[in-house]
Amino acid sequence: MDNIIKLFFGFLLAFGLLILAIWLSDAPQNATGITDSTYATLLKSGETMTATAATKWLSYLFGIGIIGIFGFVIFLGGRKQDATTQKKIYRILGLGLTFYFLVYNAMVTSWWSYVETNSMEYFMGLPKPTAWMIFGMLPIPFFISFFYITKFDEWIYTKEDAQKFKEIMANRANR
Amino acid sequence: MEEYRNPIILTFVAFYMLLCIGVGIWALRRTKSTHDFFMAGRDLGIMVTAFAVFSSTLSGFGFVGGPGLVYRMGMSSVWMFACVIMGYNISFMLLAKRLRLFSELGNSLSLPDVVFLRYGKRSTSALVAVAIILGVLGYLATQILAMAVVLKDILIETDFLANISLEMCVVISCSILVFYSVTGGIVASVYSDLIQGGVMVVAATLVFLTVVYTFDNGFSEISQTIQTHDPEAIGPWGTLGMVGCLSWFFVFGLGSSGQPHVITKMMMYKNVSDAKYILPVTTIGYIFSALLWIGIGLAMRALVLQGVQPELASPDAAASQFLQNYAHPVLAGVVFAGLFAAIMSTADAFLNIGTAAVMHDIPKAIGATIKNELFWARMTTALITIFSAVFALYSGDLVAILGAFGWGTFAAAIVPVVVIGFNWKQATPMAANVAVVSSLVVNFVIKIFKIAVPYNIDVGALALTVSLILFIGISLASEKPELDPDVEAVMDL
Repeated sequence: MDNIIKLFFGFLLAFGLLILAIWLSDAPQNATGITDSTYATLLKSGETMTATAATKWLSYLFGIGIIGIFGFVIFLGGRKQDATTQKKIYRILGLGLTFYFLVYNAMVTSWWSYVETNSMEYFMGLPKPTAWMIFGMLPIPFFISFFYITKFDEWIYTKEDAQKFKEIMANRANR
Repeated sequence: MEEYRNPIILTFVAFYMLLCIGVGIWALRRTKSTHDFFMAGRDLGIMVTAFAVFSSTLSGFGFVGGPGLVYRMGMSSVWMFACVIMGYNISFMLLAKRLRLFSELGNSLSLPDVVFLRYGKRSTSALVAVAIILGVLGYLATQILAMAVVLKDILIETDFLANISLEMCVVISCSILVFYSVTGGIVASVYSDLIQGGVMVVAATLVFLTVVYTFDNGFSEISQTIQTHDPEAIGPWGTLGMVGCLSWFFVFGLGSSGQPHVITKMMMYKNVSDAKYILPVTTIGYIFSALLWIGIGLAMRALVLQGVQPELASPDAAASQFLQNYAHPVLAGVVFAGLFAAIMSTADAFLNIGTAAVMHDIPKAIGATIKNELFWARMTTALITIFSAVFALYSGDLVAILGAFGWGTFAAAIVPVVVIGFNWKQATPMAANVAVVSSLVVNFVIKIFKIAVPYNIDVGALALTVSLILFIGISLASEKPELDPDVEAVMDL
């Protein structure tokens, strides 16, 4: 338990340094968009984060850092007293997070290619990198939800857990 | 039917409001104690809890501000939605069981109550209560203002109320809100959430279909139109860019488990094992409701670029203009009712936690006891609404600052203390106090001094990172705290 937390703390410190590096890096021009010259209520994109190698990789790592934080937090929630059960939970969570990481990579590399080639390839009515986001990044965590739904009584809150809780409440009432 | 568009919309909104009053009267009979008023007797079923969780998450923002952001920035703000399944996974994996068990163990009435149970320090629960009150003030005021603005937009189209003032609209909408929140407390709130959630899902799904059928070639045409004008706008990061979008992904993904008006519902359901059904219903309900947010935003951007629709006066008009010009009058009526539903379901949730903080948590923290708690809970609910309404109308920029400050502050203050601290025995009260204070300081300093953050990184993401580092660092550097043995035993389950 403490090892996970210590690793998480180290990861958070690295994430903080990454934010600092992003803060101090030279931002591409109008990186957060500019007002459109024809339509005052619409924003148009400025230079992308791929404008320099530094911002391209720092922003990529920022996403990896966020997925890593989600991972550490969800592993903390998968902790169980029974080591065998915990191993099973961690295996599922690890698999889910690996899928998440792979889809993120697929989306980012597809976006790099989209920016470089002005690709007009579509999937379900959306440009490919956007389709990775909507049909990949959004639903992939359902994998973890599915495990939560189907294994809840076996791994998350068992009959023995319920019995122990009843005993805790009974003892508390008697004190 | 077009000539009856406005009366139809008005009828749907009036019917919806009458329904809320009906729920308030029904809930009055079920609210006999403060335990009923704040915790619904910890007796909620699966559907009620699930709908209450997702409809409290999706406020008026999803129906007004959300489509406006997509219209203005392209895909950028969709990242607030793309993290929803991961966000709910985190909430349920770390909190659903733990909060429910703690709530029963301590017979708790509020989130600060369970924080006290876990940390054993009044200062920690008091700081959480203060963070809740600050967030509630801003959030509630913005919800009230949004409700009044929408009501005014509808009423000024009628012959008999064309000159109605914004103040009068605030009075009308707050009266309904106060009525059902005062009479029925959280019982009225969660059962009206059930209706509100249902209306939101139906309205959003129908609107999404309307969006697709407004264009000859459906979504492909929308994409191509936007892409021809600016390829990045329909790319995954929209016009905001990668870092800004990812900061939203972070603060909305992890931060959703720090929203007190949402996670408090996890203390109220009847059986712990119901959590496994509540998660999928909540997630699916939210995804369907958010279709409106993305669909209308992209459709209006494409329609303006095609020259079919004149440019909007402001991005926030995206939803209302789409409904007025492209939706069937009956659908427009359902969606306007859905809009009120989205706003009211969030407002009543804030009222409930705000009342608990003012009337229960703060007095408890300073050692005061209140007699006839139920009566004072009702009085406090009414007073907070009146105060927030006045605040919304007359505080100028402050309401916008506090409104914007809400989500990120809750995330930064509550995620370390509750999400991590309820699952890690080494976490200390001192670390929790520092985490709450640092989250308030970082948020307030950057907002008030208007410090420019590069790449528009969300301030809440910065505050959340700082508070997590301080919380874990201080706890690791401290000795393991002594916990109540029962709390420790529950943390082992």
